[in-house]
Amino acid sequence: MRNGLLFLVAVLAGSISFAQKITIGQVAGYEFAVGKNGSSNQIFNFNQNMLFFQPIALTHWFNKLGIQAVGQVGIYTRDVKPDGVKLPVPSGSDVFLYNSQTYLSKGQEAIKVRIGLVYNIERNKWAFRTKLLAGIMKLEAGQTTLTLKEKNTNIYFSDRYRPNGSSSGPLSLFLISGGMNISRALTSRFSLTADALYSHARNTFSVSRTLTNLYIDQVSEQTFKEKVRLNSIALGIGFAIKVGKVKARENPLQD
Amino acid sequence: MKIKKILLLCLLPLMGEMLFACCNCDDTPYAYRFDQMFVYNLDNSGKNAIETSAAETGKTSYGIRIKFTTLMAAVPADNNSFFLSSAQAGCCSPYLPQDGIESLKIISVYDFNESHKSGSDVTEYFAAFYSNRYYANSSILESELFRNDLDEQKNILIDFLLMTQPSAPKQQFRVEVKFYEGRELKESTSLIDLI
Repeated sequence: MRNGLLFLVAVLAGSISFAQKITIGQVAGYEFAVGKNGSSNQIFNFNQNMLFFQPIALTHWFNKLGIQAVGQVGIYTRDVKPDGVKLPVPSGSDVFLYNSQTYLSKGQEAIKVRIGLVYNIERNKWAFRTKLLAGIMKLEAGQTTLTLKEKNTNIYFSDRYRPNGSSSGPLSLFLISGGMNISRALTSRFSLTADALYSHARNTFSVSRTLTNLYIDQVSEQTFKEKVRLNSIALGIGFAIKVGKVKARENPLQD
Repeated sequence: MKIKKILLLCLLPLMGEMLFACCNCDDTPYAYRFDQMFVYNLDNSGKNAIETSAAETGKTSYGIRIKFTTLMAAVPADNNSFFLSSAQAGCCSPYLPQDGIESLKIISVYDFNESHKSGSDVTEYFAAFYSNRYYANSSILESELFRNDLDEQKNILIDFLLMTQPSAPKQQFRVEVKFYEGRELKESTSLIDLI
């Protein structure tokens, strides 16, 4: 996260120093999971449905082509119930979840930092832009603990999962996004925008599992790989402000 | 204009009382007394333990549910306010038993195994499972279960799970509870075959 912010600040500082045409934008909206999503199991909340806020998107223009750097924060809006969890082996079919009312995770955050190219076509007050971005997605996937009960016995288990081995920090996923943006200029500097972006994020990481028989305190450890493939479409609206000199002929209101 | 100001000044104490009433928490707990005791055979083979009246159930997933009904013995009475009763909106007074349980025993009506014949104390073969951990008999009596975990009908449920299998299938258990004040409650489960 810190590296991402430093990156954005560096891009902003570089753009202001060397460029005459910069656009700063903000977009907020909703991101929907699409297509085949998920991971080896559903222990962690990897569904992509989230409210997102893009506090800053900087575009440095070179005629019709621009370089864009985007930072985005998302908050998940759906929880995963243990009933939907596919437990990894060797939990066995004889062990199943104890409390179906417990939620595995709620309201976790995802942070995305992307950079890429934008192509701009302007017609009067309207601008149509296509873009291709790549970056990193930081995903909160903290420790998850379930209580399991063995079928036909009185034995209960504590079932704990920790991503990335012993640490439980955010996961990093490679992210690639493509989409388009439409904007309508209201003044020479200020315009309203609508954004549609398809994203694909992927990574494989290790998960450490600790299964404890609560009656006899017997502990068994297991490590397995979790593949994550996430596809989503983000739809948002916002505004953009041009910074730097605005040439008279560029003012769309004078067309 | 003057009348409005006078009215506003008159309402200020009432508004202050409203704020105070919402946050006025008294540490005095609710107190209850144990009233009746009911015991049930439990089938814990599935996801949740269910009371059963079946003639047989699995010996590896058998349990006894003890239900205490309670009577409210003391309620925090705090109404020092001039205008309003105390709302206690943010309060969470604990429920405490007025008559604590000194001992809880599970007695086998029939022979349980070679060392525990008919009439033996077999409590050690049971464990209560509460709040994601097992409790032996004595420790469940000290747990939070008796402080706060009363249901809407003000009942207390304890599930004692059988952790050691009996050598004979035909079983019936008598639960004996003794209170510090000397009172005793005794109830038996219905006869069941543990197979």
